[in-house]
Amino acid sequence: MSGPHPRYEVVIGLETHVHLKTRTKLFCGCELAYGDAPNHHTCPTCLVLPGALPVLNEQAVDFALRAALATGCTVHPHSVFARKNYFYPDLPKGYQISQYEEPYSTGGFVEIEAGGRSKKIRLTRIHMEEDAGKSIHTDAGVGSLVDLNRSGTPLLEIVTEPDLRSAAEAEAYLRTLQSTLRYLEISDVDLEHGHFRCDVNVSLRPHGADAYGTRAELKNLNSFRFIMEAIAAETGRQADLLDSGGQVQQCTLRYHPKTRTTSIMRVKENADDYRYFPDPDLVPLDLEPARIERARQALPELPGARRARFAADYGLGEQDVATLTASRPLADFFEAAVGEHGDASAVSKWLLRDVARVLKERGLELGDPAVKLEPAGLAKLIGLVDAGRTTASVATGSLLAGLIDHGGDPQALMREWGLEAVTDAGVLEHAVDAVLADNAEVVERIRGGEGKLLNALMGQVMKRTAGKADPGTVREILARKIADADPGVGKP
Amino acid sequence: MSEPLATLAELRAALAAGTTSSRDLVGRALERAAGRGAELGAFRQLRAEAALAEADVADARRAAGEVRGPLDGIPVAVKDNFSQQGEPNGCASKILEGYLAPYDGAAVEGLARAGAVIVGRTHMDEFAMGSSTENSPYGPARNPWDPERVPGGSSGGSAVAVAAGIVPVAYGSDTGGSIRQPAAYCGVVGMKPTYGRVSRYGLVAFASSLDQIGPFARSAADAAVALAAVAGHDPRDSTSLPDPVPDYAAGLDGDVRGLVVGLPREYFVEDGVDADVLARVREAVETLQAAGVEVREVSLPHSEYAIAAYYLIATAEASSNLARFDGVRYGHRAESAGRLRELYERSRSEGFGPEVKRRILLGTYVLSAGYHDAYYTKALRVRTLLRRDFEAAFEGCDVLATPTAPEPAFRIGENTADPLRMYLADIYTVAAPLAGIPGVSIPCGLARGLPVGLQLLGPPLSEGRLLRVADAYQRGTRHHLERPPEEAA
Repeated sequence: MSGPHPRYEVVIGLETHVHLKTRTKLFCGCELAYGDAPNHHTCPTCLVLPGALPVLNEQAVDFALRAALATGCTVHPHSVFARKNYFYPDLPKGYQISQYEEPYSTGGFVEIEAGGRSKKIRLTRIHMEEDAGKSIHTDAGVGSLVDLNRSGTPLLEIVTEPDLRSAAEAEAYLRTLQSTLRYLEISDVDLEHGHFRCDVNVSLRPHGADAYGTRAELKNLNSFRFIMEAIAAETGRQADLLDSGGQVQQCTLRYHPKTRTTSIMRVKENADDYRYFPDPDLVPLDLEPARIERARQALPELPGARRARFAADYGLGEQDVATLTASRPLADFFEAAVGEHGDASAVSKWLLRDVARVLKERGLELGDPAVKLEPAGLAKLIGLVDAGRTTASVATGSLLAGLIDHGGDPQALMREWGLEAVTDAGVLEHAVDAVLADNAEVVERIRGGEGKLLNALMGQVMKRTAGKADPGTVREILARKIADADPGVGKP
Repeated sequence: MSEPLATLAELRAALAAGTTSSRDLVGRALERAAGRGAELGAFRQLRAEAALAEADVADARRAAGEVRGPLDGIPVAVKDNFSQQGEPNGCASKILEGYLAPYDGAAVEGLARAGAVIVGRTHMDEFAMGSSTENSPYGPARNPWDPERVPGGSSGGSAVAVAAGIVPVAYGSDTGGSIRQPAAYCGVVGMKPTYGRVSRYGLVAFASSLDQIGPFARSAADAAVALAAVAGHDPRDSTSLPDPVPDYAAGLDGDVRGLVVGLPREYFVEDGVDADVLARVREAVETLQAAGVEVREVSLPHSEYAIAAYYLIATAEASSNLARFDGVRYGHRAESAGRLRELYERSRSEGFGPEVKRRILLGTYVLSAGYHDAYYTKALRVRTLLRRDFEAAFEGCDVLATPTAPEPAFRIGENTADPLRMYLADIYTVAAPLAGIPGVSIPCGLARGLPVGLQLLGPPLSEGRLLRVADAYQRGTRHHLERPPEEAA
């Protein structure tokens, strides 16, 4: 499955469809929303009533511009929307509005890290198009139903050259693309919701050969796992065919996750004739140079550049840098917190270990509105631990959870909840004496050389003080009392 | 039988003077539509109750001192391809039977703003495909000048409604001549504005790059008022023009001195045009000359390719525009269709008439792989050449004058067996929509008892100029006031 095929080189090209998270649909004012009642988000235009007309969503154009500029594409000042004609019940116009001969952008590349080296995957083009509705096939005699809520959702179709050579490279490409699109804040790129769907072109050629083999296309894969599995299955199918002297037919395939096999949907001879022509209801898209320039200026720092800068500036390990920069909200949070606290390594440790743990328990991510923790709050919390004002165990436990759930100032929270570290020697001595009195036998064993048992006593003191005791002071008092006095002395 | 209604100008004056009411006018229009209109097959539906209620509202408004404008309280009609909330939008097609539009199109909104009262929906060729209003499952419309003859098409019903004095103003759509040619056949004024001047939002598309809404009226002055009510920018139509709408009526000063009228030599060919038609058009040009215009011969060298380019582009777009009529969401759905493909095939086979099927097939063929470049792409190139022809011609003249149609109205059934001959009825009207320019047809006399139309064409957004020339012509002539012979009482 993994690793190169012994006889053949796998050649892969990807066509990825990405939902843009614009407020409204590509050609009408209906809201983009998931999970509402079927056909709730519809109007004369997306229901395709007689006489209704499309009007291009300018926000979608700006989002599309960001994607093209972030991947180094050439943006064409003049592009054309075309009709792709075919009949299907969830395609209410009988055609899809797409870009065909004159897309708004071509060229460009996505740089991936795979197998310990970086590689540029060239893009053929990115174009804008609209999504179809959803057909729902029921049993029980109701027949098929159509939901047009999704109909008209803006999509980018991002097409690569056949530059990928393994399922691992394909995955690296898709994850980089996903991360880039999230950085651009133009798509949630959520595979579960169908924001990201992939057609995979696979062909094989003997190692060292120049000419490409005949390719087959796997349609509409919507999870990373299925994409990887489907590539492996299709590699196997084509290799078996070639090994047995057969030929690969140019065809469209379906992937069956249960059996992990691919099967032919249709061969190229019967390919549809989509009768493309420019949509006369829309005018060509003419992009002013100033608009392109504005979009370019507004581009955020992209994951690759940020990774390089983090590695250079913060002295962090490669894995930590990769994790911190994979999500823009996380990387932004990190930088803001470092700005407040100063110690990148400490902030990184807190974010990747402690914050990550609490968020995972809550099923949340940084950037979700439910997460109330702010960079200044985290920085201050770390500072409180540094200053011994609270203990690490309290800070990473209830204080951190409280900040994540409620936000606010950690010092105020600490006071309000009574979680300040107990450093008062009198209080601590009293707690230590009580523990020693209850554990005379353990104290004897420590004196007999079982020094490790000191930790058990430490734990009991911490328990008595609800974790608020300063561990250094406790240890010191414990050690002194065990060494100095005989067990009876501490008794009340 | 009720009397024909007067011109818009006369009705406005009567309303203003208080000698009539909107209820009276709308009532008379409805009565005449149900009588003379029914004989001529002018309407698909009347909206009697709603129209009378709206007339009462207009009367109450006027009584309170508020008048929305020159169309306030005036009965008008719209073609059966305009979307009006709560009304059918049938396009004279069985495939839209049972469909009620849930929204107002831009033109209907404009009329409501102007206070006009829509009394009904006029008959047409199915999906505006035709030149005679015979391509309809609901029987042909008839020419008021000779009920054995066609009124022209596809907006035949709107032309009849005005010519027969049912309403002073009606609206249609022109794709290759569907306003101007029936206006000529019925002896009324019909204007196709510049592409983009009137919003297409709510107009059922035949060929989106050509379709344009426009008015029918008895005079150029009435047409100016009627056009103003529906013209203007609409952000819901991406092809709508942003330019402000001039006050067309205010520009009608009767003064055409110094204007240059071009006569395209390709449109004045002895063997292509009926001799009587040619004679009337030449007389009209002489009348304009007498009013002070300068006449010059010009050339539109690619004219002979216009019909071919038109039928390639229009059918290509139509084949795609009509794909939405699939029996899935509204309109006719074949009963007990089992499989999906069968649902499509049977719904569409049952719902569309023969001319619509012919054009869908033609258009599908034109766009097919292997034929696309030879037909569709080449037609687009011809379209560019035609546009340049007009641009060159308008460098040397202000308007062009031509016959609107090569012959007067033909007999019902005369051309139905020969689609190609039928298509040639549009030979002088198809070039303007291909070039996107405005045109108006005005009555210029009779040929063997049948109306003849003079077509005036101008550069983009020259509607005001065209109406000024037409109005100046009508100030000196009485052809537009001639009425069809009324039926035996």
